[in-house]
Formats: sequence, C-alpha cells, structure tokens
Amino acid sequence: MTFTFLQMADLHLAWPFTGLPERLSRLRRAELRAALVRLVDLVLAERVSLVLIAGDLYEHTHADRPLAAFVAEQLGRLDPVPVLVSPGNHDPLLPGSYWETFPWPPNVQIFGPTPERIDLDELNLTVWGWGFGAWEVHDFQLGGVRRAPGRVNLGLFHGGGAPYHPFGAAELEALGLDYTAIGHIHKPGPITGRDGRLLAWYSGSPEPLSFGEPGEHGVILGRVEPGEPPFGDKGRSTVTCRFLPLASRSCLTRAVDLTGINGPEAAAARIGAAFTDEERRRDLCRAQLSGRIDPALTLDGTMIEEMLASAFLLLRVEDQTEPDWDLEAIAREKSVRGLFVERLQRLAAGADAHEAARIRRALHLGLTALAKGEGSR
Amino acid sequence: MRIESLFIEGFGRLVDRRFELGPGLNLFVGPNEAGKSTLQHFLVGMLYGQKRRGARREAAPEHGRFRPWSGVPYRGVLSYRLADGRAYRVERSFEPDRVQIWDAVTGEDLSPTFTMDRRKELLFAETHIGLSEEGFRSTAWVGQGAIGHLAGGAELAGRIANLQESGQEELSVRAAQEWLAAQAKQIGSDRAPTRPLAKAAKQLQELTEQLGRAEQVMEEVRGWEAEATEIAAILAGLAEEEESLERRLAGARLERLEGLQAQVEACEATLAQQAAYAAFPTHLSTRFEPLATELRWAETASTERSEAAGRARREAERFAEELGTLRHLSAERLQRLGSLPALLAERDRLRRNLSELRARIPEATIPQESGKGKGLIMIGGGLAILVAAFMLGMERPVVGLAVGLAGLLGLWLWQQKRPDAKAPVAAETERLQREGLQAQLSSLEAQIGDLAGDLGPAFLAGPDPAGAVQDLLGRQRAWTAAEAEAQEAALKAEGARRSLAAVQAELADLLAEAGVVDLTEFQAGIERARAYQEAKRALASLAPVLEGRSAADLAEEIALLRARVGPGDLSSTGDSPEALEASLRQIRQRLADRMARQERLRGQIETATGAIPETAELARQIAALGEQRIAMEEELAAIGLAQQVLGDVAEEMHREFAPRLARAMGALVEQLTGGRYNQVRVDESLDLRTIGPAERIVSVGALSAGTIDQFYLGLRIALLDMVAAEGEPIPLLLDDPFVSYDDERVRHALALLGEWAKERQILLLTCQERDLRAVQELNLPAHVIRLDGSPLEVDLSL
Repeated sequence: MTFTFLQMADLHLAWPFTGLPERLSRLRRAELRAALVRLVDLVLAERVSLVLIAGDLYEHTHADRPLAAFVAEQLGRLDPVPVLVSPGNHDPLLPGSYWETFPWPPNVQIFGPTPERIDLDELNLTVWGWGFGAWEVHDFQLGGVRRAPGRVNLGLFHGGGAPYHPFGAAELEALGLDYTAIGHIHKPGPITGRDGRLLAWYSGSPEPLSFGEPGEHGVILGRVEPGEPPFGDKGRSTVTCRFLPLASRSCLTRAVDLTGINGPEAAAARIGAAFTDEERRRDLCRAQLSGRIDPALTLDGTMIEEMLASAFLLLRVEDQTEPDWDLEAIAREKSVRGLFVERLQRLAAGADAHEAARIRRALHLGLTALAKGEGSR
Repeated sequence: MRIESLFIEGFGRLVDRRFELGPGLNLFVGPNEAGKSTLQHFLVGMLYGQKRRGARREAAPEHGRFRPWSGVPYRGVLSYRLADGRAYRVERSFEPDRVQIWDAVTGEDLSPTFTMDRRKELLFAETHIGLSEEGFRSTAWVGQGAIGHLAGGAELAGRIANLQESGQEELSVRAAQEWLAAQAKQIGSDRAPTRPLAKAAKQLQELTEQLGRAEQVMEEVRGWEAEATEIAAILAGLAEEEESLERRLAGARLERLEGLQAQVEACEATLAQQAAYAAFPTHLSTRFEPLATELRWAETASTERSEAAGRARREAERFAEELGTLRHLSAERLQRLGSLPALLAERDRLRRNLSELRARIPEATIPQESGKGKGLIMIGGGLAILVAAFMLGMERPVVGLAVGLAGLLGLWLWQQKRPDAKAPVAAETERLQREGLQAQLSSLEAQIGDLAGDLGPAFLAGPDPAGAVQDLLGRQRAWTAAEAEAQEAALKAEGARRSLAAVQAELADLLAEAGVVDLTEFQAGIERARAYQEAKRALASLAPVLEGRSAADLAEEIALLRARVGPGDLSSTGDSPEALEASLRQIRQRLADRMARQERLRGQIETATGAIPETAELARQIAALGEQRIAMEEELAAIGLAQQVLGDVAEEMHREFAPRLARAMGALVEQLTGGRYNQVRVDESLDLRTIGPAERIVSVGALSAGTIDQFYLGLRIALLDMVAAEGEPIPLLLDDPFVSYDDERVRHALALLGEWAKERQILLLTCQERDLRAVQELNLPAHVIRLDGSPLEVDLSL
C-alpha cells in the first residue's frame, strides 16, 4: 500500500534566540509554535499517513508544562495519524522529562534510548527508532538493526556528529532500511549511498534559528511505494522525498562594502540598499560590513542598527571593515609609529586568525591613540 | 633638496602662477587670503599627492578644498634639485590624479623608477629626502604660530620628549598611552565595579545564578508535574473504582430495598388475609397449651394404665391357671404346706437316725414302734409349737393356737412314753430311742400325709417333694402377688380415665369460650391470629428501616436505583451496602487525600512557575552579555597589546634616538647661543635642562622666551638633519611662525633663520610686513616673493 509521511526535526520550541533582542526573540518563539500549528495543518490537508519527528522538537532546559500541553494538543489533532518521535540531544528522554511524564495523546509513540521497532500493520510498516536518553551519546546505537522481512522498513533517529550520536552514510547504508528520517543538522539535505540510492534526509529546522542557518527551511514530505511482496533484503520499497519550505522568515546575510563612505549615514544607505523592501520587512537581516574606511571615521554598528531600526524587522550589523591605514607607508616612518606598525605586522605574520584579528585591532587602536596624541604634550 | 620653481596652473585661488625660489631664505609675503596656505598645500601636494593616508587610492579632504574655482586644470609643476646636483621636474594633475617625474636635464621620464604605494602614489619625495608625507608634515612643515606659541620650557620639553619617544615632535607616546589607558579604563576591569566589564561580569553572574535557580525550580516543578500526572492517573483509577462501588452500592441498596419492599408487601398481604383473626382470643392459647399437654398426658396415662391393668390381670390369670385347683387352698393349708419341706427334711433325718440306730441294735432288741412313736410325738409336738409360734407371728392366731396345742400335746405324749433310764441301759436306751424316733417319724409322716393330701398322692412320690412344695408355694405367692397387682392396676386405670374425662371437659369449655367447634379450628385460629400479629409486628419492625417512606416512596426509590445501576446484574457481588459504603468511604478518603495532594502540587507549581523567569529569555540575556564581555575582553587584550608594543618601541626609540637628538640639538644650541649653552636633556619629569655658563645646569623653562625659541628652532633643524636622507638637507616650510612675537623676538628668530638658511632652503610665509622689514634691517640674504603680485618678486640677496 502506497502511503505518505511527513518528516520534521529540530523545531527547537522555546529556543532562546540569543542573537536577537528580547522583543524579537519572543516573537520568534511564538513563530516556532505557529510553525508546529502550520505543520499539523499541512499533515491534515495532505492526508498524510504518518508523521516522523526526528528529535529536538523542544528545548528541554526551557520547556515548561504549558509548552508540553501545546505540543500534545497539536499532535493530538492528528489522531489517529501515528506520530513517532525520536528525542534528540536538546530534548532527551531524561527521567522526569515531559517525554516521560506528560500524558501524550494515544497516537504519539516515543522511542527510548534502546533501539526498538514500532510496527504499523495497517501500513505494513516497521519503523526502527532510537532516542537520546542523555545529553550526549558517543556511539552509533542502531548497529544491530536488521530489516523486518516482508514489510516496509523505515528508520527514525537523531544525531550525526560526535558527541551527538555519530554516524555517516556507511552506517545508514549498513542498516539496509528503505529510508531513514534523521534530524540534528539544521540545513535540509539528502544522504545517498554509494550507488546513489537515497538513504536519508536531514529535514533541517522548519524555522531558521540563527544567522548561521541561511536558505530555505521546512519539512520533508515522503512517499513510500512498497515493493512487490515478498520484498526481502533486495526488494526494497521506493521512497521519494520532497522538501516543502515552511519557514515564515529567512535569516539573510549580505556583505556590504563601505569603502569610500564618509560617515554613518552613507553606511546606512548602503546597508539599506543591500536588502529589498520585502526582505527588510519580513526577514532577519544581517549586514557584514567590509571595505577599508577612513581610520578617523568611527563606525558604530549599534548606532547604524538604530538608524535603520524603523526600516528593518531586524538588522544586525557586523563591522568587519578595516581602518584604511597606509601601513606600508607608516612602517617606513622613522618614528615610534613606524616601529609600532612594523612590530605588529611582524607579530601578525605568524598568528592564527583569532590572534591576527586581535593584532589588527591593536594596530588600529595604537595608531588611533598616536593620532589622538598628536599635538599633545 | 632645493625647490627651484613652482608653476600653479590651477590650485585653489592660485591660478597660473609661477614662483622661482632661491636656495636660502625665501620670504613669501602677502596679506591674509593672499594664498599663503594654498601655496603650502600646493607644495606638499606636489611632493606627496592629495590622497588620504591609508591603503586606498582615495582623495583626501583637501582635494576638494583646493579644486580651482575657475574650472582651470587642477594641476601644477614643481622643479627641485638635490644636493648631488641632479634636477627633477614634477608634473602633477590633481584631477585626474596623475603624476610624472622627469629628469629636468635629460627630459627622461623617471616615474617608473620610483616605488608606487597602494594608493598609486609615486614615492619620489620620500625616496629623495627620506621623509614620508607624514614625516614631512610633522618635521619640515612648521605650522602657523608654532614657534611663537610655545608656552615655555615645559612645552618645548614635551615636544622634545615626543621626539625622543616617537621620533616625531607632535607624536606623543605618552598621550597615546594615556588614551589607550583611558580606553581600557572605560571598559574597566573585574576590580572596577562601576565599569562596563565588571558590571557585565556581575550581571552575567547574577543572571547565570538566576538561570541556575530557575532551572533548578523548573526541575523541581517537572518532578511535581510528574507526580501530579501520576496522581491524575491514580485519581482516574480511583474515580472508576468509586463509580463501580457506587453502582455496586446502588445495586446492593436496590437489592435491600427490593427485599424490604417484598417484606412490606408480604406483611400487608398477611394482614389483609388474616384480618378476620385480628381479635381472635389468642390469650386462650396460654390455657390451651397446658390443657392440650394435659390432655395428651391424660390420654396417654389412661391408655397406659388400662394396658397395664390388662397385663396384670392376664398375669394373675396365668398364675391361677398354673395353680389350678390349688389356688383355692385355704391360707391355713397353704401355711401348713409351707412347713411340709421342713417336715420332709425332718422325716428324712429321722429315717436316717432310725436306720443308724437299727444298724447298731438289732431290731429284735429294740421296740422300734414304741421308740419310734415317742420320738415322732416329741418331734411333732415341737414342730407344732414352732408352727403355732409362726402363725401367731403371722397374725393367724387361730391356726397358731391350734398348732401350739397340738405341739404341747405331742410333747406330753413324748414325756409319757420316755424309756426308763434305769432299763437295761444300753439296749433299753437304744430301744427307747428307736421307738421315740419311730414315733416321731410316724407323727411326721402323718402330718406329711395330711398335708400331701391336698397335693395328690403323686406329689410325695416325686423325686423332690420338698422342692415341689417349695415351687408350689412360690407360684402360690406369685399368683397372689399378681392378683394384687392386677387389682391395683385396675384401680390406677380407672383413675386415669377419670382424669382424662376431667381434662376433656375443661377443653370443651375452652373451645366454647373461643367460639370454635373443635380443637383444629382453635389451633388454626390461633395460628392465623398469630400470623396477623406477626405481620403487624414485622411491619412495625420495618418502620426504622423504612424511615417514614411510604410504599410509593419505596417504589420510586427503587426505580431511581434501578436507573442508577443500569443494565447488568450487580446483586451477585454479595457485598452488603454497609461493606460497600465502608469501601466507598475508603476510596473517597483516598480520592480526597490524592486530590488534596494534587491541589497542593498545583499550588506549588503555580507559585513556583509564577516566580520562574522565562529561562529562554535569561539564556538570551546571558548570551548577549557573554558576547559583550568577550568583546570587551578582546578589546582590553587588543588595548593591552597596543600598549605593550607601543611601550616597547617607544623605549627602543628613546634608547636609540634620544641621545642622537640631544647631541645634535646640543651642538646647534651651542652654535646658536654662541657657546652660552650646550647639551639639552629632558629628565623624567619632563623638565628640559641645559648646561649654561660655568657648567651650571639650567632649566630651559627659566630661560628667556627668545632663548626658548632658539632652542625650538634648533630642535627642528636638528630633527630635520636627523631624519633626512643621508646628506640631503630638507627645505623648512614655515607658515607665519612669528605672529605672536614682539619685534625683538622676530629679529632674533629671523637672524637665526638667516644663519640656518646658509645650509638649507627655508620657505617663510608671512603676512607681516614687519618680518620683511626685519629681514631688510638684519640685511639677511633672502628671496622675497609678494603673493599679491605687486610688486613682483624681489630678491634681497641680489
């Protein structure tokens, strides 16, 4: 029997949104909840037969009972559609966790920290799953899984890199399952085997959680066409997946070259022009400022953010501009300034990125200090 | 370097102007706004270009400031010659930015031979005089009023200190360090609680602790919530149990009420049925019962007594039949018969005695008959006395008397016939004995024969006539006793019949009183009346259970309970309502306890949850503060690095540069002051000291203003010499330096410049005619150029 499933992961309800101001972080938390509502609506509209949640549905540390009640209410709306959950490293099945103690609706089944199978006979389906029972899991846990003959075999778990339940394509291929729904990586993407066969998808986070998560975000809509019975190890079912964008907003990062500007107004104008009206209104925008600017020109990212506050839903300014010192010329000066530059340039030659950044800053500060000190005494 | 000529095609207000310069002192004279400043910027612009200091090809602010007003080309030409005699021509277009260096003699384009920096600027001037633009601006170009504005020795000392530390008079390492320290101070440290770093650290710590506490409380709340969930499940189970118990209780109550209803109905039915016996004299039953008992007893006694009388009669008759005619013997005869065995025994003894006697004495010698006769008489007399005594004892005086007399007679006879003892003694005695015995025997046998006559002749012929007599007597006694018994039984039976008749009469009276005809009817009446009473009592006993409910109430209640119980048979549980109520109370108590615990938990959760800040928001604030703190620490680290490196290089500079400067300056000062002062030193407190006359160390601050100026000019010259490329004197550009001088000081300064102009080119721009006059008065060789164009250049040296 052909059936469809919806795969989601990494919603991270109650995520703190550390990079955002308070008002927006609250808004985004509300939007995460709204995403779950949309997702449930989607399942109902598409008449999906099965929902697979591959971990990190909520933040254990910040989740409270009202949130658990909200999740239960939404998942309960899907009843009788089975909802299988594999707890992740952000919502592990710890003693006393809501996964353990909350009265979840009858259609919700939660995998524990021992690999197990859940049979859905009406779909002739076996789902092999496992869930985090601790904050960290250092080894792959599903090595012993063997597909159930004569049935569709799917996998559901969370992880991907040490110390969060590490595995790779080889481990997935060794499972021999028809498809595995996985979570942990927030950027959606498929994993294929050596023969190009689809093994799994990271569905990614339905909503981006930070500027480190650019691009589209959503869920996976999968379709399973079982092989002709009896389909054993070689007669696998065919699983096709479609990524459905679901995010209400994007996290956009644009590089803005401020070379030649003569003041913050000009900088603000260039930053504003880097985004469309719709993007400014809807998305979370980050401007990475680059270019060489007059060392005397003080660029204050916070001030520029405030200047543009009314034009953006959110603007983050990251100042990566370089003060336009002619270091070569200065280094040639027979003065303390020349020596200062020459000495720091020598230090920077053997420094790592972090140290080099500190040296660049010291250089700028020292030259600025000397410039400030000009004419003194 | 000596600048030989300038051609300004267009630069600020100066358009199409050409200036030829002399080798020594060049005096540019013009009022304000005549273009002195423009000329200086043109000169520096020609040498170093008009780009921002930095790494990009970008115009400096003065580029726009000096764009020609009239729209003529923004460009010029500068010619100069180096100490080695080589001459160069610089052609520069400020817009577009382009520069070319030519060999002024050969016309060769030397531009490619010079290094070009990232701003696309050819470094020809720097190559030729050893000074960057920055170095030129800070060393060779003395700004307006710079000399005259020296506030005294302290400022001069500061400038010298700057030089010693930074190599540039205007560049103060100390000020830079102070600025850096101020920046660091602005951020603060962990020990400065009012500064941002410590504040952030403190706030971070507070928030972290707050988050820790909140997480702890959340963990606790999660525990409570888990318990509440568990309790909810238990409550659901208990509620189910309660519901089940309530149904069972309703069932049990229903069962009981239905029983009650049945009882009531049964009682009422009985009452209805037995209503006629409501007034039946049941009290008679108290009499009836003993009567009935008595009747039964009397009937039984009568029957038994009659039967016993019959039995006794039959026994008597049997005995009579056995005795036959003997039963008619008189008492006397019977009494005598009683003595028969004794007589027989006596006879047998006598016979034995007699036999023995005969055996010892032959019969011939002994008259057996007489002896025998006498003996028998004696015996018979004795016996007769004994019997008489017995009869007398037996209240038979007649018989006794008769027998007694017979005995006495016998004894008398025996006395008469007793042998004489004086007869032949033995034989006679024996004979007498034999005769006596014989007589006794004969008497005895006569008696026996008499007695035996009643018994018939065969009687004595039997083997044991004594036994037979005994037996006969026994049976005679038995018959007599049986007869007496039969009579007594008959009497008793008669008595019993009379008693029965009396009881029956009394019972008949009772039945008549009860109005019934017979005993059965009476008993039925009693039973019915009792059933009625019983039903009445039962109904009365149900009253407390009914609690005032009527039958209709009961029916209604039963209907309600049936509805509550619903389908299914619950009556089979067998539990009593009381037991079920007890169980229900227990369940309800448990429910109440659990609900109370749940309520407490809810309260705890609500209180705790209300006090918990949103941890996600706390985490956000902590992250933001953490970032701020890291940024501040990074900034502090960068500041620290800058301070350290700056300190290091300043020290190095001071170590290498200061002694050379001091030497050069000392020599110049000595020269300038005609040997009055030599050596210049700046001590740690920035006090500038020199050695004056008589080897006395003098603070420069204590010297006259003119002397200080001399020192400063000496400093600039010395510096120029020090930083210049080897052997290449650098032109000194002075912008109206003496504006605040009085005439005397102007003369001193100009005199000094005149001296120095012998070895280097000095370009003095002034708006002061006084300066020109002083030059003239001092007769200094100078090339004078009037910027306002009238009259044209005058070369005083010529």
